[in-house]
Formats: sequence, structure tokens, C-alpha cells
Amino acid sequence: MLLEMENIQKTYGDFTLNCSLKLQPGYITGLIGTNGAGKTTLFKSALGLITLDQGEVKIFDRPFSQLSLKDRQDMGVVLADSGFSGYLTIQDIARIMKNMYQLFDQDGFIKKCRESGLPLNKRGKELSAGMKAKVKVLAAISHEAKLLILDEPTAGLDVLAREELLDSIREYMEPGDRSILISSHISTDLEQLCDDLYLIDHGNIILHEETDVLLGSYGLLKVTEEQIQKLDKRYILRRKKEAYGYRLLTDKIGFYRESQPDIIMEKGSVDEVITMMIRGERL
Amino acid sequence: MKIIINNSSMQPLYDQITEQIKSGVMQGTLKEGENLPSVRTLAKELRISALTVKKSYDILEQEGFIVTVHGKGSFIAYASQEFMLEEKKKEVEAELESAIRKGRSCGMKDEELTDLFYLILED
Amino acid sequence: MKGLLLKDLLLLKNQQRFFLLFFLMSAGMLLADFNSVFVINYVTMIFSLFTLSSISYDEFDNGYTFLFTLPITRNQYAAEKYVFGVVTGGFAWIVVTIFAVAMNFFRGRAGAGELVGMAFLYLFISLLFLAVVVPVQLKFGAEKGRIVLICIIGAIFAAGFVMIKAAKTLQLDFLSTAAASLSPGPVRAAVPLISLAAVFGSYLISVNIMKKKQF
Repeated sequence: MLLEMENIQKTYGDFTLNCSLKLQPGYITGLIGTNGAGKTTLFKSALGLITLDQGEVKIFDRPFSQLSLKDRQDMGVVLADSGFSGYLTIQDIARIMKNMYQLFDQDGFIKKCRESGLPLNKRGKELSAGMKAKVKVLAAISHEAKLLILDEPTAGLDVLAREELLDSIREYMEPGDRSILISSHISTDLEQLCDDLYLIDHGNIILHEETDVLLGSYGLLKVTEEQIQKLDKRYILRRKKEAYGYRLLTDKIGFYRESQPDIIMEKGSVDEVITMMIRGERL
Repeated sequence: MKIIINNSSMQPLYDQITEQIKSGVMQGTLKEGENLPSVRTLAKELRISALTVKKSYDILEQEGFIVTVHGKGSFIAYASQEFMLEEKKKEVEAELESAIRKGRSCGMKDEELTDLFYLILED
Repeated sequence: MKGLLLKDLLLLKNQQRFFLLFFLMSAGMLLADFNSVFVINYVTMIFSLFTLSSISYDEFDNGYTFLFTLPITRNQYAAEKYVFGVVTGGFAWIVVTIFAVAMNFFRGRAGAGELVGMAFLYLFISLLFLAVVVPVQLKFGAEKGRIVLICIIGAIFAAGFVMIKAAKTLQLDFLSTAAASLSPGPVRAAVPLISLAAVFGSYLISVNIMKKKQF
């Protein structure tokens, strides 16, 4: 297991993070939730930046405290609100990275920065948000890290920049010996990238499912008052009152497609699933 | 051959991929022994989860259409084409059976059914 | 630690003008025949203060959060601050001392050995200074740290002042006679030892402070 968080708990004032999460080898695992749901707290606990009230974090099957510096070099990190000092230039960052990570490909990194049109001798604070994000990701994927931990790497980027970034991440996964934990509040990004998704809300994991299953087996049923009376509700997870009757979330849309083809149905999207899981009521 | 997926279709993604590979084999656009792209590469190209691609490759392997060699990749199995044709023939047979049953159950005579069959064939 | 040193040195680039200004000022002071020892001491201390600004840079804009995801330990981080202080302060010390000795020579004055001896003494006093300011800065951060430092320095001066006043009032002359009778040898040996011990103790405190920090 690349990363394993078992029943971790951390309380900040009136917010409590309480969850478990696993990142399996070769997977891209997504963590999705609204701002304030606990994504960053989860990441900080995974990275040893904060201490936990309860529970344990294991990276490369070892407790965080037992990781050697060599192990730490096998990790690449991108954080949303933090990075290298804005007073350093990209050239500076390249030289520092080379000194910290044995496998840092300095020439490759500079080359990719040039290709992306990034000004090598401008200080970080003079770069746009998109450029800053690119530098962070490029730095993290230039030292053969086996484990990438990316906290909102696409935040603040426009559609094109996001696509480019996601493509670089996909390319990075091709060798097959790498794993990624990535968070975002933009679900479409993660839908097209991740192998499995954890949905987090108010510090709790409310759903963990393979993306494939989420997109293929989950769905929405839109029914009238009458239809819901006659409906087999075994596979209904949530319901929400609407003007026309009810909106229902199911994780076995195939069942309903076969047994009740006359009902209006929609494919599951991560956004819909999140909304229903958080706002919908249980049956 | 290029696989194109429809993200808005109700058909599960892995099913779309499996189907397209199978039809590629039948139509000859995928040759026997041809190397399929790796799971991660196809996932990158299609912009979907690698697990989804793996699922379809697993199904295809289970059904005998492809063979995976560890370290080398996945290949279209030999005699896939014949195998697929056999499968399709069986499906046609089953559908004909079902049509005949339906006809008989609403009172059509064998002669009527045969006439109808030849009429359709000529269209 | 190399990476951390490199980072702090590269950040120093941002303060080039300050460097230049300072060296010019000290050169000016030496040319104008200010007390050489004072200039050496002053410059060395100021330069070791660059450690404090490096801590500021680290703090700024949530910098620490990312910094500690890099392959470094909290021990290394603390240690590097002292090394950086010695490197920057030491560099300034060498340049100014050489210049001061040269000025002495051109002025045809004797006592170069004495000058260098005093310079060394003040080098170690700068270390002592470093030993005090680094943990304070790490614990309280840049802004609060400044206030705490001013208070501490103020307290030291006040304490010293009170002691001298008390000694005078109570006519405790024995202190000054005792001080005068101390041969320079033991004093000169004690200072380096005390400052090295202080730096080591300070390092341990800093490590403790960093270990407790949450980002």
C-alpha cells in the first residue's frame, strides 16, 4: 500500500476530520469535496505536517516517522496555498531541487518549463497563477517520485491549462510504477483521470467507489409521486424532493433500466452523486 | 484502429471499449496477433480511468479475444475472428428461434413464417 | 542541508543592495578611522542577522507548509540556520577584519596581533548573539520575535545597568578589582567555549521548537 490512513482523527475547533483512506499501487485516487470539507487537513496529516489526535498514517507500508530521507525523495508534493518562496526564480528552484532530490532531472525540468513558455529568470511572485501551478507540478514530476500527493493542483487554472496539466499527469503514470493521490473540487477533472474516488464532506468520507462504477452503475431516477409508490426501493441510496416529485440516486441503474424502462433516468456524474449524497435524504 | 467512446451514452465505458475491439476484430481492422496499447496508454488517450480499460481488457481476455503476456502487453488472440463469427452465428440462430416462437404463439403457420422469411431476405 | 543552504543563499540575492551598502559603509568607517574592533563586531553581528531574514522568508506566505514536504528533517532545518549564520557572519568578519588589518598597516600602526585577537573574541560573541536570536525567532516568528528580542536585549542591558549601579552604591569594588586581576588568558579561552556551548544548547532548543510545530 502506497498510502494508508486508518481511522485518523483530528479536531480543529468545531471541525473534526475522521476517516480512512487507501492508495493502492498503480492507482490514481481522487479526493473530492467542497472547500472546507477536510481535503487539506487530510493531506497535511498524510504528509506529517500536523499531528493526529488518533489513528496512523503509513507511507510505503511504514509509519511516517520511520521514513528515511531516501523514501521522502520518492515522494512528490504539490500544495495549493504553499510552494517555494516567491522570491526564487525557476532557475533557483531547479538548482535547489537538484540538491534535494538525487533523481531530479534538472535539464528535463528546465526544458519542459521552456516548452510551456515559463520565464526562467523571473521570480515566483511575478508569475501568473497558471504559471505558478505549472511549475509546482513540473517540479513534482521531475524526480521519478513513486508517490505523488497533489492538493488541488488545478485550482485557479483555466480549462486549457487544466487539460494540459492533467495530460502531464496521465503521461507521468505510463511507466506503471507510480501512484497518485489527487484532490480537487472540480469533479470533471477527476472523473476523467482517477481510478477511484473518495467523496469527503464535513470531515467524513461519505462515499468511496471506483470511477468506472460511479459513472456506469450510479444514476439518477426522476419520478413522480405515483411512480415512487410502486418503485422497488432496494437500490435507492438517496432521495430529494423536487417540483415534479422526487429525484433519486441509485447505485444499480442497470436494474432499473431493465425492470422499469419507462422511468426517466440519467447517467451518474460525480457532481450529481455528491449533491445527492450530501443533500439528499436517506430512505 | 481507433477507439472512440461516448461519455454521455448510457452504455458503460468498459462495455463500449469491449464492443469496439470485438467489432474491430470481426471487420478485420484489428488483425490477429496485433499489439493493443497498454492499459495506461489507452486510458490516457481516451481520458478515462485505467481501471475501466483494465476491466475491458480482462473481459476480452476471459472471453478469449485477447491474450496478455506479462511484460509484453496484450495481443489479439489467434483465431479470434473465426471465434467471433461463431459467436455471432449462434446469436443469429437464437434470434431466429425467438422470432419463430413468437410467430407460432400468435397463431402463424410454418408456411406463413417461411414466406415471410424469404420476403425479408429479398429486401 | 545543502539544499537548504542553497535556498537561503539564493534568497540573499534579493538583498544585494543592502550587502553592498553595508560593505561600503564599513569601509567608510574604517577609512574614517573609527574604532576597528567596533566596526568588525558591528558588521559581523549584522551579517549573522541574515539568518533571521532567512527565517522570515521561510515563514512568508505559508512557506513552511511546503518546505517540510521536501526531504528534510526538522533537525536539519534548525541546524542549517546556525550554519547559515556562521557562513554569512563569518564571511563578513573575514572581509572586514582583513580590511581593518590592512588599514592598520597602512597607517603604520602596530598591534595587528592584538587587533586580530580582539576580532576573534567578537566573532565568538556574535555566535552567542546567534544562539539567542535563532530560537526566539523560530518560536515567535518574524514579527513577534522582533519584539521579544528587543525586550530581551533591553532586559539584559537593564540588568547590567542595575548591577553596575548596585555595585557602585554598595561600593563593591571587589568586582572591578577582580575583573582587572583576571589575566586575559582564561577570559580569552572561556569566551569561545561558552559561545560554542551556548550555540549547541540553542540548537537543542531550536530542534525542540521545530519538532513541536504544526503546519
